[in-house]
Amino acid sequence: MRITLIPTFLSFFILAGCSSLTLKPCDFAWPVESALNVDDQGNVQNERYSFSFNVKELLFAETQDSVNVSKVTLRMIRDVKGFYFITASKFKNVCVFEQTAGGLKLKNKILVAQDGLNEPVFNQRMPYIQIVNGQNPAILLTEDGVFEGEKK
Amino acid sequence: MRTIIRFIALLAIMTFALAAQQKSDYAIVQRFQTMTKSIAKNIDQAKTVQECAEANTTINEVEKEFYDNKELINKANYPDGYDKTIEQLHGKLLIRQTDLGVIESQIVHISELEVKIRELSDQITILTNQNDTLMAQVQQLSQNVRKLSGDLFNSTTPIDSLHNMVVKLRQGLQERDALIFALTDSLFMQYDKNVGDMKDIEKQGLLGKIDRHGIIGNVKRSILDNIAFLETTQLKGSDLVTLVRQQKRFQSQWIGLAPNLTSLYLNGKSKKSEIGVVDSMLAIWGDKVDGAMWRSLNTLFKEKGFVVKEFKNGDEFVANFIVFLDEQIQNVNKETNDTRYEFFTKFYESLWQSDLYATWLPALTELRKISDTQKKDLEIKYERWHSSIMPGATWLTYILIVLGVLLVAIVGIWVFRMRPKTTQEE
Repeated sequence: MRITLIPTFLSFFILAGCSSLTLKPCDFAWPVESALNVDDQGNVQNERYSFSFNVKELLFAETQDSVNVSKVTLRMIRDVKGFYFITASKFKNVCVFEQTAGGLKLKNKILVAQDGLNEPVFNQRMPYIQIVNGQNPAILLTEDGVFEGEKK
Repeated sequence: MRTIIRFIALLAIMTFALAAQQKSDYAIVQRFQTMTKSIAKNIDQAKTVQECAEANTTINEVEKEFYDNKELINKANYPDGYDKTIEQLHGKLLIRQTDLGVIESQIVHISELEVKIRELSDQITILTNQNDTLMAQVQQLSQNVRKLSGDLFNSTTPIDSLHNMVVKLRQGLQERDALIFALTDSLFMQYDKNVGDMKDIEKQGLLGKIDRHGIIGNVKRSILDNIAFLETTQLKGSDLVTLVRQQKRFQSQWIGLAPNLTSLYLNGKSKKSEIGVVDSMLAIWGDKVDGAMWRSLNTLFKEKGFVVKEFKNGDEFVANFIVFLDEQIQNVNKETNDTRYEFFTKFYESLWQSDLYATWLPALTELRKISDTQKKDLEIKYERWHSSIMPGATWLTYILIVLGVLLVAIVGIWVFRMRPKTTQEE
């Protein structure tokens, strides 16, 4: 009995440890945002962090126009937890994405400007992301929405 | 009270913090990258000690400007950050200087001048903006005054704010004029040689700086501003004399500078013609300020009630004024001595002593509008008029003096006789 139990317990702990291995703490924060120009096909490329993705669907969702995409400049930043915050001029929302296998999945849409943003820029203000829209007061964001505690 | 002060201080800090926070970090990093790339390019292309010194000054400026964002740039400017980028620029410049055989002490001296040049250039920009604002305010206020009084503004207009503004604007214009020539001097001093002795590359460098700091444009702007000031304010008297002086000073400084610029612009026809344009503008300014000065002097005679035929230059002024003085000496209107004496006293008190002798004649001589001899002629004529009136009064004075002496003698004798006799005399 004792001989049978010991290997069973050992294998349980070893397997359990392997499946939930988490490396912590992690800091995914970008020090500054990236300004990404959309090409004719709706693709953007980030040279600094070496990745690209297509934003046609996002542009259509925000501006109802997926044809005239080449003049759009997306503002993108990653927060400390690894969520991507994306917005652009004329967007009403800041879209929060998380990375999935081969794509970016929308996690949340945060309404920041009912009439559309004018000249939005992101700043890294750990643990928050700050969005500045022209002369309007800056807003602090988390992946869940506007951080109400320190609205600036 | 303390609470209020604390609250105000807190508000100020919050406003500052808010303003600081609302900057885009991305824009800061981009600006740093653009500037450092541009400096690196300039270092690569530098061919003279002046260009090396300019690069050195720019590196120092960038280092200073972005020091507060050092932490951000160290993280965001991949891979070199702030410290390494600045260090690399200094290193790059040192290599370039060695290649060109530039001595460090030269760099230090020229860099100091470069710092001064940039400060002067910034001051000119600030002053230009301030003067623009003041000019607009003076124009607005002058219009209001004219609507109210129906008269042109002069230094005696009882509106202190307008007068103060005019004084401020005049000082601002003077200061700006001086700064432009100081800046130009510093630019030439960096090369420490005559334009004729400069190499082509040095000439090009100096020309580039002259264009970059907009020397010709600033000179033209100054002339236009001074003309606008003259036309807006319609100053009179000593204020106007100050403006004439300012125009003459500006002109002589330009005369000193123009030949150097002409030598520099030897091959550029369009640029060379700019010098001619400045000459013409200066002539227009000179004519306008002279015209205003003679108008003001004519008006002065009229306002004080003395009829002198109108004059438009120094010779006419002397001739017409002498005619007036001769008429008074010869007493062409056959007036009584009392009337003449009264008229002379009025002239002396209201015009000669206060304005002509004190301000105008010295200023006209200084500005070479009349010669020293002409000034002396006028003074001699004035003295003659004076003495032609005084004899009547002198006779009377002699009689009174004689009478006075007699009176004193009589009183003395009478007092001596009335004195009580002493014991010895008894």
